[in-house]
Amino acid sequence: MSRFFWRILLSTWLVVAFTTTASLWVAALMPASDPTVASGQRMDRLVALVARDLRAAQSGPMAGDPLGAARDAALDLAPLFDVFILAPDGRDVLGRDVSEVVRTTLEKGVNHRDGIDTLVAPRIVFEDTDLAGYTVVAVEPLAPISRALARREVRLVQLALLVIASALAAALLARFVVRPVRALQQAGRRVAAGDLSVRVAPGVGARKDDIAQLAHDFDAMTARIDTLLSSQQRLMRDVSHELRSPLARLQALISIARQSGSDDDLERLDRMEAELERLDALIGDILMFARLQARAEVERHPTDVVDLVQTICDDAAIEAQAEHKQVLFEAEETPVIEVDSGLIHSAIDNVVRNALRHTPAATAVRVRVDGNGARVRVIVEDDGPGVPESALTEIFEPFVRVGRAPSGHSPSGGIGLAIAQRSVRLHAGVIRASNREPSGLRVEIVLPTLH
Amino acid sequence: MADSNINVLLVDDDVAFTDLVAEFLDAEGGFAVTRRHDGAAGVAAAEAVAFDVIVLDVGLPELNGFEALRRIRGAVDTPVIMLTARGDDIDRILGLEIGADDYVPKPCNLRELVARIRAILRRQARVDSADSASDVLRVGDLRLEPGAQSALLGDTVVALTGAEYLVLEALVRDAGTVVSKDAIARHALGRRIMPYDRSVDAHIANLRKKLGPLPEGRQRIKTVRGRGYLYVTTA
Repeated sequence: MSRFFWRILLSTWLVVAFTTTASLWVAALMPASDPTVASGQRMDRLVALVARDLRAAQSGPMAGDPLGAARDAALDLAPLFDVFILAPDGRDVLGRDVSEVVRTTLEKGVNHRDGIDTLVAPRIVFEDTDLAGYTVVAVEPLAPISRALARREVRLVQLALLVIASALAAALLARFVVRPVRALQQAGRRVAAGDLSVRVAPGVGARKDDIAQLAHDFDAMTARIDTLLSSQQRLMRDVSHELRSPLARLQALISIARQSGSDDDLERLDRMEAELERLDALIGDILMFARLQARAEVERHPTDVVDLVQTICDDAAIEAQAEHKQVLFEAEETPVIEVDSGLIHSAIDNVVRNALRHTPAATAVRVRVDGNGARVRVIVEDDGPGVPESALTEIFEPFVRVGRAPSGHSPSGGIGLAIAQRSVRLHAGVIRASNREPSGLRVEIVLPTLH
Repeated sequence: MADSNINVLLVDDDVAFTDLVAEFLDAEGGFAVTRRHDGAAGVAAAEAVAFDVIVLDVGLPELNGFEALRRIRGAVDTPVIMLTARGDDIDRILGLEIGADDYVPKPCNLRELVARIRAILRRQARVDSADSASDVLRVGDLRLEPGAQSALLGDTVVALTGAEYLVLEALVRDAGTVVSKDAIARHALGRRIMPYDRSVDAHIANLRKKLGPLPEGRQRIKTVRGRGYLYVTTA
């Protein structure tokens, strides 16, 4: 269970327990209200009356059965109070049981006229002056619930029930609030991770409250994003397909033209083919960048970065030969790390190609791999013109042209470094560029070994 | 359709493109091209006629190229070359995993396509002419039967595609020594390795998955940085 759940549970529970205790306490402290005071005074008068009758019966000229009169009085008052006449031996003259509370009160010799706690303790009034050892006691009967509550063990059970019930109520409330919030939270995370098929509303059941509304709004939002993204993806796919079909036909036409072409034509056909390949590569890059933008997670598998970079350098070196450039590779032992090798391949490949494009003829691009337990680092350096200090971060934006030398027929201001940055960031890595002395650019890619 | 012709089944939804490819192959001479424009028709044709090679576009309508490839593989062993759009690395690997023999990026130079077709056929011819009694290759628990083109681990047959079998064969023939990617490509794909060519690596990845580690837990196929791959012999 989450901390959120426990926090709600505990605070609700505390509030319920506190309010219940406080209200009971305040009720107990409240002075007896007027009707009850009046009832106490009435008991006083009645007890005095019964005592007088008893006295008269004991000693008066018309002395009859002293107990008979008192008995009558006791029975007359029965609907209002229990009236006991206790013989000197402490027993009720009518043989009824006298409760423990009454005995204690008598022993203390203090009238409970005002009822300290009328809920749990009965109001008791007695008189024993000049009654030849007899005592007249009036006890205000308690309501059945109060009678039960007057017992100590019942009060303990009551306390336990209060604690359990309030805890249960608090837990239910907490669950009621926390469950949908947790569901929303998890859904939010999945959406952030790129899963736009998540829906929360079916999970909140038949609720119609604000939280349910929030879930519905969340779903509506996710569905909207899903639609937008998938239509964007579809557009990308369609555009790529639509652009590539004529490109493929054009390529096929060039191949056919070549079959019967003259030598003059062949040279132009070569150039057409080269431009066509560039166009195709550019479409591929744009598509890849679009796909990367939509991704939030990578599929990692153990990868030997040194081997990966070696392959890239070998491939790049073959292409570089034509322009009399070199690719120098150097590596330390580095740990095998968990990355999406396809993405990291394209990231490093793009950086190396970029360097190769800008380094002057008869120079070399130097690629170095090192690492330790925490990170693997790839450094690519060229002898090109570098970029203005202010543009060192800008070069990772797609199609941004900065002050690097216009490179003839090489496409500049491309999208390669943007792809590299996106791929590296998806791996929680860092890519940064800096200028070299006297000239040249140095791009550093750092990938954490742990994720 | 003369017998000496190479029978090619070309499955691509772009009719104009298939016409151009047919025209080119016609001019090259020695090819007979059958054109189909959706996956289902392609599969039906592949099952009905014994082609020498099938060229299959990945982005087909209705039944996509991978699904078509899976169905073709379920029926026949005809070599398949996939046409893939550049930048679809994942798709490419996927294509090889199901059992494509090679891939050609599209748009492509048609000479390159022809070269790939011929390479596959050369390889196929060599395999077909292999004597069924040729020597069985044995390394540790692995047994290769060149005649039947099958690989066995103990008594269990490992289901390999034609290209995968040949990659493994190239490694096992020289087990314990490093075999370069180029040599593997020549043996298994009938062609040289190209720059940015990951097909051998993809086949190796599939082999590792299908064969699992050696009984004592080590990787069967070792990557030798910058040089190639090596099938580990148990000391």
